[in-house]
Amino acid sequence: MDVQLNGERVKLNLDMGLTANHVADLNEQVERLLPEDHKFRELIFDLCNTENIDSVGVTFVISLYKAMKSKKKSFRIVGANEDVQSLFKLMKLDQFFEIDY
Amino acid sequence: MIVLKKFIPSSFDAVDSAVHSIETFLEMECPAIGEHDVFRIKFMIREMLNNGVEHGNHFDPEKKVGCILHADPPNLTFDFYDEGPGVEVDETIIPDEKESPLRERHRGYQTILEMGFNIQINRDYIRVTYVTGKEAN
Repeated sequence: MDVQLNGERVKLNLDMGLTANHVADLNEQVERLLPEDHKFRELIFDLCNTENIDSVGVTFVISLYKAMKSKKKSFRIVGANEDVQSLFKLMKLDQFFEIDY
Repeated sequence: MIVLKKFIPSSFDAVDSAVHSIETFLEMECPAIGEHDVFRIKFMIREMLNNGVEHGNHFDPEKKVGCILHADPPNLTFDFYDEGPGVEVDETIIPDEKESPLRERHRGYQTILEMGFNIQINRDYIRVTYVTGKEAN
């Protein structure tokens, strides 16, 4: 996963499956890569390279959203393919954050 | 009828490899299955095997989880096994309406059902069936 900082926007680009076997590593990377709180206002999670996902991966996304919300930062997903978008909508998560293609 | 048997050690990495293997198998043996169905099938298999790894076998590397696939397109039957004590069907598997979409757990089975799979919990295994080519609920 790599991070891009553009003004007050941070973009995390995922380059692996959003699956149970990767979540521990993803948590460690997020902790290491995210800038200090005062340096950004929005977190964008880019899933354009993600085709594989499971409920543990979804829980990771939810925890990311909750963390951003608690810090009063906005959060959205971009690059999600049709199936990933459908999955998030099926889980009713589109009520909480934007999920874009 | 096409049959695939896959038994793996109890780890999430092994589950990931197994899903890729089953995906390749379906692409070769059942090429008419559409990509959206393949996505749902992969999701379902991950959920079922992950559950076996975590809740059935408690990540014991000496224990196996497994999947036996019977493919007779459009009908697919998946039988899942682990070496745990078995699954009780109660409200902890299917959350009630009051549980928030932001809950930490208990989303796998509900999502699988809403994708259009049928789950049958038996004494020694869990059977999941699916008809490809239909729109999910």
